[in-house]
Amino acid sequence: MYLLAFLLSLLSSTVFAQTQNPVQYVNDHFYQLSTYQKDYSDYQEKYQIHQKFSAISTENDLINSTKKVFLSRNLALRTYLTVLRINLNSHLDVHPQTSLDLQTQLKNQEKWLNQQKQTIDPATTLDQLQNIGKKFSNTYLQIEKIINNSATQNQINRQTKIYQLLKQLNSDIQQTPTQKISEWFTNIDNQLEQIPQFLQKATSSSYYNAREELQSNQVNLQQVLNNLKTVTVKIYSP
Amino acid sequence: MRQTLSQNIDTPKPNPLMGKLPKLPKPSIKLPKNPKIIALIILAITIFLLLIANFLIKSPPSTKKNNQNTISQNLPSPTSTPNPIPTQFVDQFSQIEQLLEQNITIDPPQIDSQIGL
Repeated sequence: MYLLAFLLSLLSSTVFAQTQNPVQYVNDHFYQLSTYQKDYSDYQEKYQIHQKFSAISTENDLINSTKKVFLSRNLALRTYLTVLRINLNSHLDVHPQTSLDLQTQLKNQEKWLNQQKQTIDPATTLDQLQNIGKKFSNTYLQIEKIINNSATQNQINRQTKIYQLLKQLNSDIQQTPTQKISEWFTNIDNQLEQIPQFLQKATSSSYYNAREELQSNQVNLQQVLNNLKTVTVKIYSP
Repeated sequence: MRQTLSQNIDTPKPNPLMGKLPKLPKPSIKLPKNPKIIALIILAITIFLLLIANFLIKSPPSTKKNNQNTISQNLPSPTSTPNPIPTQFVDQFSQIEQLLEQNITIDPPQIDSQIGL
């Protein structure tokens, strides 16, 4: 009996391992990020020691520490790109083309970061590591852009979905036979009309501006929902 | 017969069976001089006091619980209160609420892109 339960639990764990849920991707990213932070502080320490003594042993320590931090930096970044790519799946139907394009770009960068392990591992001198660092620094500018676009698009998709659902709900509620309610909806209709403008603004803004736009739009969406709730309760209350 | 006044006065007579009681030696409580033992005693007293305090704190809610149980028998259960939103729109409202709650953004990782340069 116990053996059967054990086998079943093993089977279920392998099944779940294949279909990871989004929270696990987030946890994975935070774990890798903390590993990077530890490696980074170790690298800084080794760097300062080498600056002081410039010995062969301190150089070797610095080389090993740099290689380690390169790998963990790549992993922290790659897991973050994966989180963004998986999150874009949530509302892929809203802006499918833009979302799919971003997912392809993210996937390519994830691949590039994975491939870097093959160039980092065989490096034995500080010059070789410097070249790897330069290459990363150049590519990171491109990665940063993709990150900002994906993070913004993900929020835009979610808010657009909410907007669509609110619009549908608003029209469903207005289908009621009582005509006296039409004026109650004027305010809600006006609020709903403004939302696409906010979303458009967020699309064309830089990441941090877009974040502000989207945060204020989140408040607007919440307000529309609350107003709709109040009106619905008023209409249907006996 | 004439009574004399001294006749009704009890004269204290010593009990012949009871002699003078031997004085018992006073029990002298000698405090232990070892500081470890003193600390142990203080600790034991503290634990005992804490146990009592714990018992006193825990005991009142149990009586309240009993009261609540008796009152709740006369009240309608919370689930029986009607939802103000009409049933045909409940799903739509909850779907939107869930999406609004998913407003979680994970900031890009703060990494140093100049390592090794």
